[in-house]
Amino acid sequence: MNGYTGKALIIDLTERKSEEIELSQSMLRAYLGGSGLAVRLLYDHLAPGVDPLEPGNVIVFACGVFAGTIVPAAAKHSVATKSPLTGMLGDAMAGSFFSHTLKRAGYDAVVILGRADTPVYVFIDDHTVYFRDARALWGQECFATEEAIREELGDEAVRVSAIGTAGENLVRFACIGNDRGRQAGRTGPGAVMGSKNLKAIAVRGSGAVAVADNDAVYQTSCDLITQAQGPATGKYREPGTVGNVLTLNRLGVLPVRNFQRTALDEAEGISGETLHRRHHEKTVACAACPIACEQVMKVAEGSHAGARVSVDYETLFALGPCCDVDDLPAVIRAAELCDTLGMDTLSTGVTLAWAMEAAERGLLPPDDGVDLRFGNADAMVAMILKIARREGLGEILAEGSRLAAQEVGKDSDYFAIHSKGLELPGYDPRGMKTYALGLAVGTRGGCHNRSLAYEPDLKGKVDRFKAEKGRGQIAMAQEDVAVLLDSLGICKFMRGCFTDLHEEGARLYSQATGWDVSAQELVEAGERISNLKKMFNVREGWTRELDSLPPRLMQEPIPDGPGKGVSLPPAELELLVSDYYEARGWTAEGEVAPATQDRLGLSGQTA
Amino acid sequence: MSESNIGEGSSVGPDPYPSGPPRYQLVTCVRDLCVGCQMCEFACAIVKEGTANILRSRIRLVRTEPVLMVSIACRACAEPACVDICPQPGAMVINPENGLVMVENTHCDGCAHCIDACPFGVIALNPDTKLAVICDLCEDRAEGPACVEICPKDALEISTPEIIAQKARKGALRQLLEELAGPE
Repeated sequence: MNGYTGKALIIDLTERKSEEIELSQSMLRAYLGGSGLAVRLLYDHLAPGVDPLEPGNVIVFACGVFAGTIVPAAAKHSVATKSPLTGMLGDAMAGSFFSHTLKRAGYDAVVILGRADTPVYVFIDDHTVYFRDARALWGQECFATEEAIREELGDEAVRVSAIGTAGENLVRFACIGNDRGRQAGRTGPGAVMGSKNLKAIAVRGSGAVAVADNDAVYQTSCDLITQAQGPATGKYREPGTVGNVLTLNRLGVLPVRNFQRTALDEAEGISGETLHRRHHEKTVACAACPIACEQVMKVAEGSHAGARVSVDYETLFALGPCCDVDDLPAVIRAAELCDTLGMDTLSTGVTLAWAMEAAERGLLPPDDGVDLRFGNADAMVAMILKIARREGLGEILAEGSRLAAQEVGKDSDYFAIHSKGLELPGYDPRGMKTYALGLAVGTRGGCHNRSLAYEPDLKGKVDRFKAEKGRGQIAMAQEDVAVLLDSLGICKFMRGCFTDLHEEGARLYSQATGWDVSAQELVEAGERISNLKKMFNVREGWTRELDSLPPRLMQEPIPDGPGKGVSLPPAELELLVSDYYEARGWTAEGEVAPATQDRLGLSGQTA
Repeated sequence: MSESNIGEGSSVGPDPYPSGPPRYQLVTCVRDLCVGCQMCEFACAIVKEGTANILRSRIRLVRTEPVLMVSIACRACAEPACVDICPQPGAMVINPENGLVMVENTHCDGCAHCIDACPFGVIALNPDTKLAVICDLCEDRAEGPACVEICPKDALEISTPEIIAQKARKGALRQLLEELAGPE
């Protein structure tokens, strides 16, 4: 097989056994790889209704078709599981060398079942699988674990996906780190690994991924590399996504103080440009990526001297403006702690912002020595450690904002900023109505990255303050583009390098696989995968009221900035959501209609 | 009568090597520009070996620290340790035209002593033929080295030790001037 390896590895941790299965051409063509393949395999291997942190949960790693080839910026791998944070589809992605290496070891995907009785790590050494003792690694941080495993195996080329303290302690938004700074960040897959006593997956791949037409793939890749040095990727290259702070502040959609405000009076000091000027140390790329968006920041002096980590916009937003912290060295330290302890910076920051507000309102029990309030950078840094260790207030906050608010009560869920339990990213949905819809209906919860629905709002293709019929169709099309990229394993930052993603994507896919695939087939694949994700959620008990946004954002109008006075009342969101269901061909209740299932080849697959 | 034009400039035509003598050209990597993307390894493996297997690349990316990354290929040593140690007569020879180390496949027996000896780790054994492979600057390729051509960040270039040193001197001077000018 070209492009694909045509094989998946099923690993049973309980039995400490592994088995290779064949992946058919029709299955790969229908679900593409990456996110699509991961969700398909999860759907097929997971029994419905399982507690996400019980051994019955399943975690799937899947690569894109181009991973292991020269195709640029196509190194994303997908991690799918039932999320301990949302109870719905856990759907994370990470970049860098892991997927390239897994493909070169001979696998498109790895499905992990069961639970080891003692801590282990799995070493996939080309086609041989070893279950290795990880008791000595338990308690170690993400990066340190990677290094220790490479040291133990004596090979620098081994790639490792590992959890840190947070995953071990079942922090519900624990992530999985790989390649010294890339993360499968959202929805808590690190906690699922922790629950399985699985410290890490290490891979050594010495083979090659073949493509059907070497010359054509080489030439197309060279063209894309050239494109990727042009204006389409300019902002990712410098200063990186952190440049969003000033842009979003100007548009009045930069959430400040746990979404109580939408702009900073003084944004320059916390801007990406300032961060870059003062702290930038090195620009780094994922495997075969010509963009290189990872901006490593370093603190040279002061109490956080030595802190070093890559910082992107969502991290800066969550640990900066959302907590009203304007101390850049503290943000870098906090981000470094999240990465080494292995927790999602976004959920960490937004959950901390909820805690700061709750503490200021006197709703939280006091915590020894940590004075949580907006702007207190030291408290933020101290609490991150406590969350990972589940100490003091960290025990409550490790559950994420939704469960923490339930535990604390006293109407604190009013300002818990999540959708389906996943904390919102750094855009205020009230001033971006297409995006608001994308967030509300998103299968993994509050996520800009899966919906891509912010794009028409920010590019001025629609009136971003207006909710109207027609947005359902737009949000659906954007979501299907996102899922297509996630399934091909192509980084979203490359999307501007394609004039027509479906046409050019189909050509490249055909060159790599040797199968004659049309643009229309890719459009349908995107739609099919989006629908399967929804079917997964429905099977896990999804109900319509989950397609919603936090009460604060539906009850308070925008308090300041260019969107001042604009609101997003529940009736308006309802209109948007219904319009989306209709565009999708779903029932009025929001379930995938049988006719739609038939059309996409998904029928007969609900439990 | 033997005439030499060395040191006098050429009176018989354009100097074919304006940037230095033909010997000891090598692919060099500007560390600050390298982002560790591995594109050079892919280009080399595909162009020279017809496979995307980066283990077959003659230029190798070293990326061992979060911010330290550099690609490295044959350094074209004047007295290469690989040639000195090679026990097979005629298996490794220096091309008198350009100073590159050439592996004669008919003589190499894959003993890997050259790999042990190379202080830069830039010799590999082809896993199929078990013979040594070394960067040849893509001398058979009109466009020059594929790695240099593909590098998205222009971190790779063909250079000579003299030019590399020249650039280092200029960089040192620039740094000195910046330090004298004081902080922004």
